[in-house]
Amino acid sequence: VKPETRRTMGPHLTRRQTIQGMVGTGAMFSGLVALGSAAQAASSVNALVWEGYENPEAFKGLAEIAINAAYLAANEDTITKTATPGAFDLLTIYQGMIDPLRKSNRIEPIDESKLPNLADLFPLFGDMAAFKRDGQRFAVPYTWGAMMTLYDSEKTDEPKSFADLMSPKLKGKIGMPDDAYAVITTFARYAGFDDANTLTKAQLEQVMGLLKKFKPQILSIAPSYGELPAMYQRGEILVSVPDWTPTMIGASAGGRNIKSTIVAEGGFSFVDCWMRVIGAEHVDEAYRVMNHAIGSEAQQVIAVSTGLGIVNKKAVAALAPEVAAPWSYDQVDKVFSRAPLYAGAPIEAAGDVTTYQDWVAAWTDFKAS
Amino acid sequence: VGWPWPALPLSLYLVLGLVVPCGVLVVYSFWTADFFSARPDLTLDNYVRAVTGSIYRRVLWNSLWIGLVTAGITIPVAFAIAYGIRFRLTRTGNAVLMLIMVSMLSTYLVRIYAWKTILGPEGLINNLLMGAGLIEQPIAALLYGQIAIILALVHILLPYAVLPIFAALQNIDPRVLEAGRDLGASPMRRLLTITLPLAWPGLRSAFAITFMLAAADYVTPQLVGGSSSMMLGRIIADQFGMASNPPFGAALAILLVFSYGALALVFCLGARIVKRLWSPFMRFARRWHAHRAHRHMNSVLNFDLPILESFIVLALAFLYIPLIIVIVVSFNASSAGVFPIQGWSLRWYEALFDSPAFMKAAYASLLVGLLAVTGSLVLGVPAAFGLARANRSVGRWLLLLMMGPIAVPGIVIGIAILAMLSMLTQHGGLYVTAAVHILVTAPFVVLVLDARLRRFDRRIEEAGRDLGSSPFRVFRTITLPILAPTILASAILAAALSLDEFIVTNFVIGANTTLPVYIWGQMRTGVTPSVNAVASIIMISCLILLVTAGLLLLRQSRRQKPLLQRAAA
Repeated sequence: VKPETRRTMGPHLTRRQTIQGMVGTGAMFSGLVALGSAAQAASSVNALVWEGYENPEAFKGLAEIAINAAYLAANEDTITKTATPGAFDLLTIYQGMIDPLRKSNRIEPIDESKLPNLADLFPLFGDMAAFKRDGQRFAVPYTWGAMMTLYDSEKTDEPKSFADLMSPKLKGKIGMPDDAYAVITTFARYAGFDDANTLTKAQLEQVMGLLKKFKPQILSIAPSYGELPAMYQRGEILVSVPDWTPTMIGASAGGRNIKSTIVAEGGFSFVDCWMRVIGAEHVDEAYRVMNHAIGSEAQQVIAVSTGLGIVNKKAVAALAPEVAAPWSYDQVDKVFSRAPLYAGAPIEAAGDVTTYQDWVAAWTDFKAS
Repeated sequence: VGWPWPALPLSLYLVLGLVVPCGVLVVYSFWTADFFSARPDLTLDNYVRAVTGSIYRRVLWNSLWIGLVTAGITIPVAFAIAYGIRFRLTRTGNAVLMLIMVSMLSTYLVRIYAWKTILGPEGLINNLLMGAGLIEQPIAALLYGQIAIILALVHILLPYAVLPIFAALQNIDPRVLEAGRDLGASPMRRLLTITLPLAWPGLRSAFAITFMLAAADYVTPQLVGGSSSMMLGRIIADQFGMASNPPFGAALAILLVFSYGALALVFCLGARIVKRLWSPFMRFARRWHAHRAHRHMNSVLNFDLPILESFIVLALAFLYIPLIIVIVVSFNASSAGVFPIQGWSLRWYEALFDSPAFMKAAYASLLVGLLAVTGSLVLGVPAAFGLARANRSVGRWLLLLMMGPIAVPGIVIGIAILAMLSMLTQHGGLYVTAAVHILVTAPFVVLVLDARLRRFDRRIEEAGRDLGSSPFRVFRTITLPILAPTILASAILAAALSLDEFIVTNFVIGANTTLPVYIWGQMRTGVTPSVNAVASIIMISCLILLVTAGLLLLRQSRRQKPLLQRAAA
């Protein structure tokens, strides 16, 4: 064996190369560990939220707790993504998901004594029966708003009725979110049903028929609400329905002037809430995050960043008039008249009334049709 | 040559990770849906609904049609590129091939998204046409419909089609084409009677891969399909999410696989008819291909396609313009993901590195990638040895098994594993994802190494043994060092594939987030140029990995020449 061959690990890989490789691998592992430790915090909660609800600005007063957020793309993600106990401590979703989440064994009661900021909420939100089951609280209200019709005010007139939405000028110019509950509830209102969450089979068919008639107006069913501002920004759509105020803020950042309206047939309201996930590993931290979220400081930030209504009366007093104006806080008891707050679609079959599962199946078929 | 024991671990892994879950998927398709779950009450209702529902039949046909059109466009383009690289671009061929591979490793999701920027009413094409005065109003039909889906799919799948066709063309001896020319065959006749029949295995593989991946895609129709271009992949994916009916989703997936089988049968019959019609030409081609004693070499073919080089340049532009737009938009000062950008800024990169969610996703991707590379090497390297040294009939079955994860559509792998986890009352997570990435990347490790091992001169090992070395010492001091750069290159390829994997990961990641899943989340919850920044980071990382691999291989081949010359002397 020649001397130079003895110094090597073989004819093509020298000892130096081997050591270099080992050092490189070690550096990669060290980087990985460093990155991992940077990504982990000593005190943290894992939360499944709509993007923006974990706004760091809103939670800067709770700096000792890191909120590890995963984002919802659809209401149903709250069930499918929380199947592993311990994966999440908290979630945010509208009040109508309480029953599906309870049936799926995903959420547990909330101890009100650990939430002193509840005392600062408007009584309507603090005591609302929609958040309780069997006398126990399952949800803490965070924001509220109405599902409305949004439109690009520089390119189209305000749609005032369903007939306006059916205008030939809007053919292929309307965006719609992939949200079975919101779309069917909205179109149940357009179909003239006041109790838009209690639909018989015939009524659901009527609603789906109206949706099919409306389909040529739809350019695309956006994978989530977050895609709608981008569609406005790219000039693809003139109207979106049903939609919410964060879309207006997102589209404005791209230079569009998007306005909202509730058409004559009406809309509906929602209250997005914090809920505790069963099997949470960071219980104390979860309570502290919920309590902070409904405190005055966080509520003010969220009101500005999302454009949604808030629930803390002290925070409302500190809001700029233009931020507070859309939500008529001085008449907060009456705000749900044009856009009622429903309990959510039933989850148990009772007589001829359709269930949440029926709605989702009808919506999936509609998308495929 | 013998029983390929080293391939046994990977074979078992593939049986457990692919064959068993697919079996579970079949069982699951007969279960009954419950509220966001399933119970083992056997029923045929899922199949009855899938087969009798006119909506599903129409969507299935739509998916197969889009798959066929996509493959119909992709294969001729890929053939022209592969032909050009093999026979025309003698000096730049390798660079072009490398560019095509790099484009394959740029983030799949963002490539689809880039087409929105190009095809939208205020997008690149409409702006160009309006600027040139060719149209007065933007053409709205470009985006959100079958045109957009097919364009995006052709863009994604073109590199996948080029590689097998190029591999098949590499096996064609240029002397055969030259002989055809000497015998007076026209360029078209040489193409039809020599090149195409000899490239047929590659064309067939490319068509199958392109068709199956296109027909089963569930992301592209969601992003650019609009309200009337639903494809079956999206309905299947919906059943495992919003629609909460996994057994029905499983039945639809089985139906899709059966449709593939039925179409494959039709194609096989069609191919046999075509072969019979072409048999005289085939005999002619085979006779010349077998004539290996011919010593005269002339790699310059007199096959005059003057527009071929320009066509390749256009194809590269087609592959790269969307990628360039992705990178440029990542520097946009505005939050709008539009092109042209409204000012230059690094704010989206700064925002990324300040984002705990991004850092967490980057960590998860690196961890999964590291585990996937380690696992795919531990299983794939011995398997490649086993495969290269197996006898022909066993080798054929092994190859079939090992190509399984490449041939089975990602959505089927994803939901099959999800169904199995659900049946075992387990859930996804980072380690499950890493295990699935091993499943997906190990076949590529085997492919790369197998190609190298087939060119490996085993006489070197024999010489070592003749000189008294033990088999282990021969392996340690001869085989492994010679193969080290190839192993490293395959590891880098596995790392790049793992970094970009989304289709399967989306089903098994559970509550965690890898970088592509992070991008998907961003796309669904509000798109800013930060998505482009993530994509650019992944793309450049993959490029660095790939160039490193290329340089290593080049270095190896340069070193090997003098060694071989010395050995010959």
